[in-house]
Amino acid sequence: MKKFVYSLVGAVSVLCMVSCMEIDNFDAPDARISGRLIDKTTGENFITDHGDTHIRLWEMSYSSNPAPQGIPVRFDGTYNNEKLFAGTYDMLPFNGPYWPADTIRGVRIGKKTAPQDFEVIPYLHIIDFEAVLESTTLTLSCRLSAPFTEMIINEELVPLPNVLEVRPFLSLTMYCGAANYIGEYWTNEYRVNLRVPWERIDADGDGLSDKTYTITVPVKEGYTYNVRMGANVNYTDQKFNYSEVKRIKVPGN
Amino acid sequence: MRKNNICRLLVVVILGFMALSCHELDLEPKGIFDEGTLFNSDYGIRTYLGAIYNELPIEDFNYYHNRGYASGNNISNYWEGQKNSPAVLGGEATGRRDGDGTPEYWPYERIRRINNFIEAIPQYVEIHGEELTNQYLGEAHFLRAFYYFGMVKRYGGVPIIKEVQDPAAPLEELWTPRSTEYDSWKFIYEDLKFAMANMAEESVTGRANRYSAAALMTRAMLYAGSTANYFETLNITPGPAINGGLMGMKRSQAAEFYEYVIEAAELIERGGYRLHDGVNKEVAFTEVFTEDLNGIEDLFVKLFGPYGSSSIYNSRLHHSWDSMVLPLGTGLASDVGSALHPAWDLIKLYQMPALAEENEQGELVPVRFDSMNDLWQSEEMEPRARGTFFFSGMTEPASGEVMDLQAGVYRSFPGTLADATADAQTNDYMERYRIRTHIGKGAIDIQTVGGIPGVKINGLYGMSLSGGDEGRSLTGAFIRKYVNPKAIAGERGLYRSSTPFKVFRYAEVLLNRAEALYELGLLKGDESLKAEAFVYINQVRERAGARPYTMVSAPVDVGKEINAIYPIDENLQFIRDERARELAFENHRFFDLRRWRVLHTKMENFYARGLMGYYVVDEGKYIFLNDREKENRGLNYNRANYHQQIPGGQINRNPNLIRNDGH
Repeated sequence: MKKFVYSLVGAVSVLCMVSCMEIDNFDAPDARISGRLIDKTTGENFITDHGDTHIRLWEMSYSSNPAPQGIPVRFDGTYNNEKLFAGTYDMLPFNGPYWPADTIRGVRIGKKTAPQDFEVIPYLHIIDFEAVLESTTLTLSCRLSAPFTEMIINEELVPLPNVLEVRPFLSLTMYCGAANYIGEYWTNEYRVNLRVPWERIDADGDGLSDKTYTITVPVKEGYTYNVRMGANVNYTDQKFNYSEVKRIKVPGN
Repeated sequence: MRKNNICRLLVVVILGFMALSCHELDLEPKGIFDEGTLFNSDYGIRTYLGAIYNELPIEDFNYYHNRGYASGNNISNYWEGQKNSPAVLGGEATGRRDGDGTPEYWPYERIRRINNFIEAIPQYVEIHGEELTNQYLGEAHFLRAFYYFGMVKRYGGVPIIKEVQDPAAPLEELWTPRSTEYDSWKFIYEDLKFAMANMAEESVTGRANRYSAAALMTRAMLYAGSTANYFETLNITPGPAINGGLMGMKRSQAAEFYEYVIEAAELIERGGYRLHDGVNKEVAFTEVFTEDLNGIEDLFVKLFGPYGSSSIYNSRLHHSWDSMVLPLGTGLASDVGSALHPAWDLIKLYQMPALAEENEQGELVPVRFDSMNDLWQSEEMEPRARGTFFFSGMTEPASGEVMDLQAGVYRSFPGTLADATADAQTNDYMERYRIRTHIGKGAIDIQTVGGIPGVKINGLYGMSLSGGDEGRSLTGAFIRKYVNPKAIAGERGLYRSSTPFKVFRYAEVLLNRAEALYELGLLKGDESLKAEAFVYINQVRERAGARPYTMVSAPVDVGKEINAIYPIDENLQFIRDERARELAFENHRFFDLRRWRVLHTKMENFYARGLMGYYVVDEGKYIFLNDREKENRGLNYNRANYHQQIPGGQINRNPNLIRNDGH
């Protein structure tokens, strides 16, 4: 009898222990997708800063109302993610400084996926960017250009949102922009505050701003800066469109 | 052999019990009142409704801007709610910040209890009579509208559930989708309209009556009007939520809501409510917050428990206001001390003596005062400001302590105001002339400056560069509103305050009415509506002891000063500023800036400043400068949070909930 009771207790306790030892044997996700964000008006990669905009994904094969995921777009305008779950996705370049893009549906993402590029039209181009160094004063200037001043979205004619500001971005690393800049330059002193519709910026309607915007900033001797200028419009995220990056070496010890 | 039999018997008995345990024991629980017991007596109904009142979404002293309401479901440490107040996010004060003020709020389990009451109570009409039953129903509709208001002001459109759902129903029926934002606000309107028509005329302090419902109507409909009026200025890329009307409204829908505000305010005026006043306006203004003004200015009050002999930690029945806004000291705060500090952004709005003037070259220089007391002892300062803040030199009534606040000393001040004001903690001019101290709490630093001995550098209660952000002042003034002027020893520690919170008071109704009238006047181009707005603004100012405002007939656009994304005329900005002055530290500012859609530009890289009093040694005079507070805490606001994202956990339960756009 003792043996029977003990073996019963033993069997039950062994069953209990085993039920806690489930091994999580799902595979890690390893599907990948990559591609470029392209400025439709120039055919080049979209000019952006690291992580300023992202490609939004919805895994529609998993759920009809999934939580969105995002792949940040890199400094050079490309994106890449190698840790997705294989499935069918909807993809959309999301909330960057460009006119709203169309969602691309039914993208099959697996272990080997062809690159998926996206074309977007930026709100503004920053052109004629000059950076002139005089001892420890850096004078930056640029003009603005709007590829489109209005666009049909959802069957409505939407004008270019008001232009907000022009700002300088200085950095000491290879990245430069609103995600990477020296904080001391982000003040009301070093910016051009516009907050007007495009008609006021470009009264003669030639697509270029009438004025050249100039900002003067102090820099320190012996440092090498990466510099660019950016301007933004009043859309959802108010992110910046940028000029190209110039490298300024300030002589000194 | 017998042992074996007993063992077998034992095993059989145990197995038998296990088999029987699958048998349901269908008994009523003891010690829980069922519906019949509660709803057939007034006392039972008050017990049932009391639990619902207890969990109302009121942003009171214990409300944390990021964790949310002090609730039975919520975690503890409510004392921190005082320093994590929404006042910090709105720039009225500086304190701790741990987010954008986006707590999750989805209280459908509480709404279910109200729906249960609404369905059940008509069955007891023979016991209570028709009139009383309608009063109970009205009260329930008021409570339900209050809960929905807490949700709609955060999320926009929400699922409207007005009947008790059957938990056994198929899931597809239970997955209620979101209604449009317009319908959600109208639902609140219909509930409050019913409440206004059916609730009692009067109520005891702490309970609501029809005028409480009308006050909620003025607040809720003003929020709705602002959302409709300003949503489109954000220019959010439309997605499923905006296209479905679940999030946002159109400007053409604003007028309707502003009109509801005005209707409800008129009802309250007819109900005989008025502003409390007195011969001593400074004292009268403090009484608005510390006296029972039921039927006079109070429209709804949240009561807290009586003063106890010791702290009951994490009890929602008490709060910690005195302990968190007064400095540590004898008869003042006994725990923590001064962790929520009034900011210059608010102080500068009040009517007070000028702190800057033009010199012969036309540059702005600080005004010289013989004593720091000249700031508040002047006729020029409105009594309401003295009732809202403690400035240096004022006496705290309960303790008799004189608030001694000094930021430091300038050896000499040869420059202009611009020289001594920086977008940083210091600059070359300040380094050259300014002396500040690191001395510890409870001590005053005396130094020899410029050959003159015995120069006092700081005040007993502030400011010093050491000591963290609690205990002494960071900004040169303390909050006086809601501080208990009759506190006895030991009643100023954590969880020792019981001052009731005035949820609705008549001054807010006047301000809501004025704003709605002016906005309606702008939408309709009606100058008489605009002029009427200032009748009520000036009533508030008259009680405050401030000069009346004359409406400007050709107002200029002052929106650019705060980088606003739409033009704001100066009359409207004055109405908004009057709201800031009157409702300071009552947890309105954050929600007001939010519904006006100016929070994200006003709070862009925002650093709180103070009213820093300095002694100029070589002149023997005092000046006030607006330095940044020493903790240098910057604020930003993500404009996506004007409509919070629907909680992910709720979407897991109800896949029909569509997420808000812009995130």
